[in-house]
Amino acid sequence: MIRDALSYLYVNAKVMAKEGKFISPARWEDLWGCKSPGEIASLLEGTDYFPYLSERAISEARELENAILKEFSSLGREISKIIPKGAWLIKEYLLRKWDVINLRTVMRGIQGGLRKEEILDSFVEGGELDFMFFRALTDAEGMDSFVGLLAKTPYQSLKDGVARYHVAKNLFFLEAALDKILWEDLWIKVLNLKGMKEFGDFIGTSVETHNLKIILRAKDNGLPLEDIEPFLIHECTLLNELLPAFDEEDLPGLISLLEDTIYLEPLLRALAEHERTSSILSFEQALDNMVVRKAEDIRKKKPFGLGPLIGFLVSKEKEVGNLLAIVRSTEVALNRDEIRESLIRN
Amino acid sequence: MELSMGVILAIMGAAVSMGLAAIASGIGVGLAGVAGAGVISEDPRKFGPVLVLQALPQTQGIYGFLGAVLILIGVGVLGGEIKEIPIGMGYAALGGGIVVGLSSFTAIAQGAISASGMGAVAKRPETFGQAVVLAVMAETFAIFGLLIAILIFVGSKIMGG
Repeated sequence: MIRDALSYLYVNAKVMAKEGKFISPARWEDLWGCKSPGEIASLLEGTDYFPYLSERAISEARELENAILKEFSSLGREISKIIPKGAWLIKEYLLRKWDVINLRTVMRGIQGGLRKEEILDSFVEGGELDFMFFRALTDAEGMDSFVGLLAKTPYQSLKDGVARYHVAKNLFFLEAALDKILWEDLWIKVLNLKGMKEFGDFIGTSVETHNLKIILRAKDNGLPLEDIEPFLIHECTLLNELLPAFDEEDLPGLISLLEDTIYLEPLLRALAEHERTSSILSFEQALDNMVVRKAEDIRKKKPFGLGPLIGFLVSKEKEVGNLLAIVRSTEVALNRDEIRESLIRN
Repeated sequence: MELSMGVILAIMGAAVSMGLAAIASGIGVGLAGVAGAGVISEDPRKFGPVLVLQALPQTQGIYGFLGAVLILIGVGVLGGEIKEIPIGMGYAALGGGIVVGLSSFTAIAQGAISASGMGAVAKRPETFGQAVVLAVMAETFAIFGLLIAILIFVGSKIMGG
């Protein structure tokens, strides 16, 4: 216990102090009502995001998004420098997550036909892939060329999604392949590690939610199992029930198979929402909330070891995700209630 | 000058009282200090509450020091001539020293509680009072240890004899 307490004391105290600087509930209330990047920027005064805001961030939503992501990335680098050596997998998680974010930016840029400079503007330092490599990726003429440039990197299996991308003409399969690379690699590593049970629980929940998001979206889009199977992480007990019944069951039928799991109730609530709005986002939000709830549980169960760190990382991600949702909403003029609905809660 | 066995045992009691208390307090203060550095690196304005919480595990060191001084005065090593004391009284002094020394190990738990308290205060400053109360709870057992030692010293005439 003392060894655990000692190795995580500094980092835990630091992250708890950082949590003290999270955006307060009262300020969230004000943020929900913001109609422009300038209003949001002024409400970020006194927070950790403020030093990253440039003049352009006051008038351009995209620049404000970048500033928020830069703060998040800088925080990740700071945390990876101080986490104990035994928690090296968390460091890897923090690095790989930024690679995934940057690769997704390039994919969306290629898909949306953005200019190279526009894609490069969105690069956020923080992962293992550096800016020069990222610049080379933005030279890709199309998705095939982009995936080809990833050969000999941990992301080379992204090529599994290219054929389906060309058929469907949307990024779902490529993004699913990218997420699979991230979570599967971490999951295999954490299963073979001793002393990181809590992180294993967190990754396990992330793997389950990754699989559930793909399955529910595929069912909603009427895709057959063989189309999504390459993107599922098979070392997951949830699949034992779901996969054999996938082609026969409808959406409510698949969800009912999750009886005796923590996912049943939130997904049933999301199903009611889905029937009302026909949006698959209700399931994705419910599953994202499950990851946040899991991290909170881990924080409570393991207050001296990895718990506070995992809780902090997930809470920070939630804060950044919600902030980005508010910034993006200024571009599409959503109303206050619609923004609140789209936020991740716990 | 040759020391009697009783005096040697009493001096050993003083050494145990101070030595164990110093180790335990050192670990407790160290645990709290590491966490305190984490909090201050993020928010230097929290130095005040952090300092109070870090100081709490030091008190066990003071009890160890007090136990040792009482023994040393009682047998005359401090403040006068060394007394000829029976071996039984020497064992009593050693026992008192062990009680104080061992009960000082509550400082380690107190250090861990203080460290967590610092995190709580850093996150929500209004919890400072509660954090101090929680940390002080661990102190109770060190105080019981010191009281028992004093009772042993009085009962065996090391004090007031």
